[in-house]
Amino acid sequence: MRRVRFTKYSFDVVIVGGGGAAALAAIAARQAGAAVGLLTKESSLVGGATIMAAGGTSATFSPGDGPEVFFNDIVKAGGRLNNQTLATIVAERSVSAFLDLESYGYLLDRKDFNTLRTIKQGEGHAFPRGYLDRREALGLCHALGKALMRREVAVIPEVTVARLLVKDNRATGVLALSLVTGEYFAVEAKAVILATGGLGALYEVTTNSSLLTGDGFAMAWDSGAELADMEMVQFIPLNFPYPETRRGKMIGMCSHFGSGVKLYNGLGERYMAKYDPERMEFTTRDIASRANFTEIREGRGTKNQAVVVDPREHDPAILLRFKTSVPHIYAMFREVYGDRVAEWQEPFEVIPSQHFFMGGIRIDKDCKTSISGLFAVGEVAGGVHGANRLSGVALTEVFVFGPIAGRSAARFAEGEKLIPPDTPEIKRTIDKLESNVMKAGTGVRPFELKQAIRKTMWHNLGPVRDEKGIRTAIETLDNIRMNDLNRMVFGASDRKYNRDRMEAIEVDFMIETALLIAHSALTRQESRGSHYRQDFPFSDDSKWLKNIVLTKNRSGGMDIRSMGIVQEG
Amino acid sequence: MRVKCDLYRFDPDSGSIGRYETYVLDAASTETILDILIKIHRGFQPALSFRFACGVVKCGECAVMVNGAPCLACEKLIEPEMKIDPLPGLPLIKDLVTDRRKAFEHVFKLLPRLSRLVQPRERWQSLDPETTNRYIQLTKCFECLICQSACPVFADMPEKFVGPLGLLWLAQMSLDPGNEAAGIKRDAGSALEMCERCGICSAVCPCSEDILRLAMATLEKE
Repeated sequence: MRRVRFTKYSFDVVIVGGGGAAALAAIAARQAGAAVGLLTKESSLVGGATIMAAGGTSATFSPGDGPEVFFNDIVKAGGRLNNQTLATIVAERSVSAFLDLESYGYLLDRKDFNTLRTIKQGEGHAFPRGYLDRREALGLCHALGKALMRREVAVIPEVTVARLLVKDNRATGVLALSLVTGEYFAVEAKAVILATGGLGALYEVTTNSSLLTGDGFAMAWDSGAELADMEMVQFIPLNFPYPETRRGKMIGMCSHFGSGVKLYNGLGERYMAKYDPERMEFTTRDIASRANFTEIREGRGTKNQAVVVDPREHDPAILLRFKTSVPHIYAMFREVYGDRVAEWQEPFEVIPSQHFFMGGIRIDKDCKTSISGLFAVGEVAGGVHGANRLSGVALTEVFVFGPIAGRSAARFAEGEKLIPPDTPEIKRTIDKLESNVMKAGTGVRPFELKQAIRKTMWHNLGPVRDEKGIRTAIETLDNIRMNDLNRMVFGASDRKYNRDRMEAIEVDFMIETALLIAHSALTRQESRGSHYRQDFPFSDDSKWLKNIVLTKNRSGGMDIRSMGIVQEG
Repeated sequence: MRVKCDLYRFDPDSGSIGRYETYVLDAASTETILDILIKIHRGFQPALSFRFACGVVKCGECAVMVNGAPCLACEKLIEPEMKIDPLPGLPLIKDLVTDRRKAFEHVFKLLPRLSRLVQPRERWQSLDPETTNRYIQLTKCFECLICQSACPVFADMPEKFVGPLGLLWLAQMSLDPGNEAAGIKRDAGSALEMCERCGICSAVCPCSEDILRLAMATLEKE
């Protein structure tokens, strides 16, 4: 064995993740008196999917609206698979958690002295609930970043956490690789919070950044935690088809363009009549994504493998709102399609794209997982959204549960002692991770394996699924795991800032997470929410109104169980 | 089209000196600098260190110099001939990667007021529309550090001057009713004296609005 060295940090609470959930958890844990470390893959203090968010935050702002109505909408959208305890908490605290953000130094976007600037009504919401901010999420992320520094959270940037350290079903810390130095380090902690976000990078086209490789799901799975609803991947219908840099990045939904908007395929047919004759273009995001995906896959797309949005019949007030409330999307719109399309005077091409993940680590109302000392929050945690998420509720979930996770981890840490990590075990793990350092040219680089995973996931576990496709994906993924992982090499052996070292760890996470999605999707022999099985196109409440829960068994295999829905209370 | 790319390579820990490596490759005119960096990393130089995160002009992490002008790599389209350097004036980690964290911590060190907790306040405070609009504009910053890197005064006296980013942060704080206005005024006073009003920061800023000029105007009005 090579001589392996690593340094060590100690905290009461360590948080893994670089977005809003991680930051809010860190601030709350610190306020509760804990010494807090935060490990993020990025060099920004707060980034993740949060900094890319454009869609705003949903809360019960409107007169007449209230937690019960909001809860009902969340659960209806979620195909009633939601953990009702969690959904209730989100619905009850949506407004107060949102307004609390001002106490971290984030000033909200106001219209005048006492009203928020834009509250938009999105699909599936019984009342207008969507707060939109002219900075999109930049103002929020930078304010939270400064709050982290003010409160002396030890933020360690540009690190990839490679393993969760667990001893006797108790989380004891993490093992991480610094991209900057190329060195490994162990963090011992009384409590660990996973806030690693979603898994967009598992898909060929996604609105997410390439850093969201499903790390938290894979680590939680490996440590024996329960994961639920892993088949529930959300897609969004309208995204840029080109150029390559912008491919899959988000435009949004037809509703952004107002009531005159129409969708056409490459043959000039207004195809939504086939998928949702009543609501047409104003259908839910899952049906619209499925329709766009199907038209393109069955050869009715344009020559660029896209479908066409015609926004020409529009209300100028809605165009103005588009320009001011999603300025970033508008700027990109102009960049990609030119001025006439930017003014909605010409049709433009779009593709569907992966957007969000509803499933994840099972948590209770305090963000506790089934592993002692391990907490999860944000997109990596499952349950709030069930089988599908309403617009604007991703950030609401983060604002409500971020501080809950931080407080409950700090409370847990108070009564605990640090459990020193198992040094020989860590050395073995590092050695295993490092055994990939081979000569360039003799094997396959991490990005090549990533491309293979992303391709099979998009084609077989995208908006439209069936048994044959899912089995093909499982075969492809198993094959990569058995035959390619052991010939994965770093293109260069440099230690410092060598992206391949980080990406090699990500490939492992991607395969594990992809297989969890695939097996869960194969098990659910019905269609519900975002999970659409061509071979089982209808929902079947008598058999499937329940959650699919995955856990790793003692022999390393997968236990698949179905469990009753968590009721309110 | 065929593009020629001179890439700066340097590891400050290596003891050797910086150099340029030249790559010639095919690219579409719609590709960005970031696309080219990814292509070179995958196909030609796996040891190349470069940074990016969101890929859609939000996080500010991919800022580099292209032919002597700073830009966000994920926004800037390619040119037939490109010389790509790291942002100058910031500590270098390796190749195109600067130490952003050190640069932020530096501003915090010079502005201890940033480190103070905002005063407890009503969660929802009334704000007049003009202040709100200005605050919203000032907080559209990408925190890409291009302004800091381009500022000649900051290059001359990095130990004393908070730089354009520090001035922007002060301006943001001055509009936030949760902060103590008099102290911010004092901090801003000395920084404003050092600034030479050359306007380079606002010329290089990738934001669509001239937020750095607006920050100066906000502080001068105070």
